[in-house]
Amino acid sequence: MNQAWYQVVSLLFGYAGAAIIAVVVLLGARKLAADRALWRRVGRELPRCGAAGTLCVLTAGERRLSAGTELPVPYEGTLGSAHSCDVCIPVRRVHMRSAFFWMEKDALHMVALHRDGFMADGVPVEPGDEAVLRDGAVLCIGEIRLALRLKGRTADREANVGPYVTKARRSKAQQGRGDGLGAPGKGEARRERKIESRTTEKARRTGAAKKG
Amino acid sequence: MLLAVAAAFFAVTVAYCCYSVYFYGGRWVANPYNPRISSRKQSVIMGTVTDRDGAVLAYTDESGSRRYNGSEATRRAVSQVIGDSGGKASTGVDTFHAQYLLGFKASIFERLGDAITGTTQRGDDLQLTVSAQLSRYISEQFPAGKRGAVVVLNYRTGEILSMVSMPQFDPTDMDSALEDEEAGALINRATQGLYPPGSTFKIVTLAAALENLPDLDSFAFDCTGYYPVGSYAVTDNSAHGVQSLSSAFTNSCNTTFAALSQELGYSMLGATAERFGFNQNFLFDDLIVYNSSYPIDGLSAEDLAWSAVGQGRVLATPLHMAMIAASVANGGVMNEPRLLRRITTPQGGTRPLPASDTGWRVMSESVAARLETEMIRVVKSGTGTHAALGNGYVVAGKTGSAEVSDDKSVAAHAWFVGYITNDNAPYAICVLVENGGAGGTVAAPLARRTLQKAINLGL
Amino acid sequence: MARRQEVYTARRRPADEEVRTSAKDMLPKKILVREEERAGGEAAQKPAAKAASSARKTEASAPRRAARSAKQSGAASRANKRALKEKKKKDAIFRDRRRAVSRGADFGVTVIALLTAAFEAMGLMLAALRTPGAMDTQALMLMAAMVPLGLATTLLLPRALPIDALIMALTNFLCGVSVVILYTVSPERGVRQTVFYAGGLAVMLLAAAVVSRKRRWKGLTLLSMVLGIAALVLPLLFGEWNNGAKNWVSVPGLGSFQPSELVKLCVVLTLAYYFSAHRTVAQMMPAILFVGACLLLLMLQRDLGTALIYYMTTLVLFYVACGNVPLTVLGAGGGAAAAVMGYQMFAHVKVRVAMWKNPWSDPLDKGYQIIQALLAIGSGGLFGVGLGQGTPEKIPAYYNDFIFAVICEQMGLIFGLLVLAVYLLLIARGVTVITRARRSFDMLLGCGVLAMLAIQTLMIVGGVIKMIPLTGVTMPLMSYGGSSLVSCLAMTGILHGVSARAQDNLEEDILGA
Repeated sequence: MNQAWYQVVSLLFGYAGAAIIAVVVLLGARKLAADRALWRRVGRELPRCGAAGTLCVLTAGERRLSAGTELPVPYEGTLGSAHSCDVCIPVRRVHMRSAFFWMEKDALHMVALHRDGFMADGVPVEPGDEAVLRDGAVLCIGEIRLALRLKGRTADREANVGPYVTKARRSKAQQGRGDGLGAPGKGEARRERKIESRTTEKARRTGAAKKG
Repeated sequence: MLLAVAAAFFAVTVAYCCYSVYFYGGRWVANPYNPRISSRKQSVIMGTVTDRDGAVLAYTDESGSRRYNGSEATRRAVSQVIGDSGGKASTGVDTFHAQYLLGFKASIFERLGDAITGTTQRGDDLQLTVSAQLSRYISEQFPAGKRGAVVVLNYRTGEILSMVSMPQFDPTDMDSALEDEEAGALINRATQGLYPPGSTFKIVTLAAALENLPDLDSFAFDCTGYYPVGSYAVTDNSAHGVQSLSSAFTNSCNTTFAALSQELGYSMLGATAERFGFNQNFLFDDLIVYNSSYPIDGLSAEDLAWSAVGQGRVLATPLHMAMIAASVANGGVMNEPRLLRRITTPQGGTRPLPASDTGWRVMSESVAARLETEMIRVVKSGTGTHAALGNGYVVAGKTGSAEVSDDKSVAAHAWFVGYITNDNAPYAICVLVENGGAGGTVAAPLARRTLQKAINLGL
Repeated sequence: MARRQEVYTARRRPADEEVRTSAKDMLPKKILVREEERAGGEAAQKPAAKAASSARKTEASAPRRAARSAKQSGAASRANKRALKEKKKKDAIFRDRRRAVSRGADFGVTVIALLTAAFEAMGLMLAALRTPGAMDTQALMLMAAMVPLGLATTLLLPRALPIDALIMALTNFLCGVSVVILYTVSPERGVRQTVFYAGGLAVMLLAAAVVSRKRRWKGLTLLSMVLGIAALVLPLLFGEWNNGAKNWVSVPGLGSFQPSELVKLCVVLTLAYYFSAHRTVAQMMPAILFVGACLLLLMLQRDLGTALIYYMTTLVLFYVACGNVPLTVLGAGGGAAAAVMGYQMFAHVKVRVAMWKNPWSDPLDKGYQIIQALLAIGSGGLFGVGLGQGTPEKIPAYYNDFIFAVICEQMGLIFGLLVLAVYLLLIARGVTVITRARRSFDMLLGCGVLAMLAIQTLMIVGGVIKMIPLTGVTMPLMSYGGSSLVSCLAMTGILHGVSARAQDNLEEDILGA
């Protein structure tokens, strides 16, 4: 190809390239928007989408929270009375950012941040304590009682494995904690086994309390 | 939110890119540091440059080398406007409009035509607005041995009829021009020379006063030839006695204008000066013009007083001063200066000119009319009587003698800016003779002869 | 804004917001479900009712009865309509779900992949025909490698492996454009870039697989911290000063590489690990100390551009992780102070800033690079001077840092700006992906990658067009260079992995529903 023709063709390629990239951008933007809309639609039709389980209000004693309400619990987040919390319990007694929690493979781990009289199955949870809540655990804050239902964990309830509260401070609990990504840490698992044997009785008691 | 921030940053980048390419892209291409110009000269035949009468000023011969007009006088007279093939005179048409002359603007269809016929690509031909004859005349009439510049504009259209810078060089003999580089022949003083405008700046000061100060008709000032400001003083050649505004302008009385400036202050005088183009970034499409400056940052009273009479740190190019005179002539509307008259493609078609037609208003019509009255009086009975023309042509103008040394050991720059008020000869002019002496006796006669020649040529 | 003062401030994930909104309208939805059931029941009864009414019709011919049966059938048809509507709605929901879990390239992505292939084929064909009278077989071979590679990774891979089709398509497009441009301005580099691209794709797949499968990150994070520091020490020990910086290490037999590019991955991983799961600022410290050490080493190497990228990424991730505005502002202020100190300390920073302010003050030496870039961009015009035309090789570092200027000259300003739009699309897709992530770790990992890509792109493009002072960083995915391309592809691999995990979660949910 001689120079003049090459120039013409390369100029043509410039126009073609601009057209190609314009179409690429348009199609990409369309696909992006379509997928966002699709995921939003699907999420809307899956009420529990993205939730690890629910907190079911057993007794409320408050006008703003009625018994029977189910609060969805995400895999990770905060619990408190502020609207910005992932699990919002709109009760004055509850601190605006009372605790934070994350889901691990076995259970929901929750660390209290404030002394607002937070009990997990009758055991008071002090600030810094890490409560390990399995399916069926009952949280109490004053009058309010909330039952935890985890998705696909009904086996735990059958096996009557109760929740427990690790008394270690948060910083120590951290060491044995897994990576917060679903797998329990090694130390965690060890301690768990130790405590489990001790808390069998307590678990039975709580099971009885629930039945009652 | 993250997405919004990212999108905002990308949008800013894209907007900045568009902005800078739109405003500066042409200048980047036309830059003498652009290696693409010299490399493209190998493959493209550079177009022909003609003056407004069709006289060929520069062309490319069969062997592909750049040739210039046959007469040396013409070559020298338009040397800075045309530039040279090596890009040494970097603001010349040969460099600045290389994107036309070297066919950067050729469309794909034109290239296709070349490819089919098998001809080498040719750049566009440019016809300039300058007149070679007038330029040659000005070069002849310019005071021998002096440096300086003369600009003649058509104030209705903004076309540059002549732009002469002294000293000049011969593009066919670049060696001697480069040898004598400190003479500054390669610089186009009309567009790149920044000089204190001296008393010609009083046009701007007067415009500011007319716009902002009330009761100017009853204004009177007793000139003693000495006006103390701050720790310093503004001096004048002689004590003019009691001056009204008109007589102060006619006699070019420094002390009166210094006093006026104190009433105006930096804010008003600076605002008017900026409207007239000082401190503005001149991004004209047809030519590179250096930016004029007015020291709006200096806040001392004596700086203000001196700036009102165009001394101190006020700097302007001759072309800019010609544009100011043209804007007075044009009823307060300033036009973009234009150098390209027609762009002809190798196929014989024309390309649209880059410059837009619309001017912008720098002062109200009434202020322009009042300024015209004053400027006519300057030529009729004031400092500029040497610029007066006969045959019913009325010249309005203002002289200036810009001091360049504190102790008057060096002669002042002689200025004359003005225009012909007659509709059949819409010429505005700016004459600057470096270290020429008094504007009224050196610059004004040259302006008269130039204008007379322009009328005779009927441009 | 009291919550911002909390140490344990939680990040609000849009995904969680969705959960909350769905919880709000849970009640009406329940009723709806019940209605749905009822409608379904009616629909089941409907044929029987119809049959009965028709039977009655044949039995008795009294007009009154006929009228009643007509009324009945009208009610039935109304129920029928409602049932149809419900069914349609259900169908739509199922269609959506099917579409949401379907993997692989849909129509749009397929067209993008084909256009990319067309661009590569046309561009390299043009390059092959450039020299008169001779066919450049190397270009044809490159075409034979690039086109199938791009098509296969976009069209086939997402079906089998954890790959997001759109991200893959856009990545391929950018890499394809880069190879074509590089080949025309410097054939040897174009060929090597193709090799790097192929290798980078493998690393990308590895990264995607690891991110989508791995559950325990602690060991890998610690390893990456150690490796990161070690890699950054290497050039200080074995590197040589090059363009005022000492950030290259040459490995005998393998060529040279730039550790700071690869350490980007370590930085993102460490930051994501230590910033995730609502930690306190004190617990975030290991990552902050690690980044601090990296910054120190980069300062010693005089690789300030990369240091700036690390720093800004850390800041973005810190804000995203804990939403702590005062501390973030403090960090930004500290960064600004450090920048001013750097300006005072390093002479070449001063030169860079001066050349940004006015490159024309020294057009042949210090301002040469930026001026040549501007001249190239200006000369390109809207549609470019044509592939292989012009003189891009006059710009120093035209093949890596200044490739944007080369693209603008050869393909035109419009193309260049649309390349930026493609980057923005990539980032927008990434943001969509990370908002779907369930775990804060995934989210922060993706966010770190996006922040790095975006900051780096903006820094270099802004520098080339003289919007901000020039920092010597590469243009992600487009610049020539093995380390840069591989690390950028690995970063897109992380995005793929995060996307695949979100997709897995969605599938689980849909199966559970």
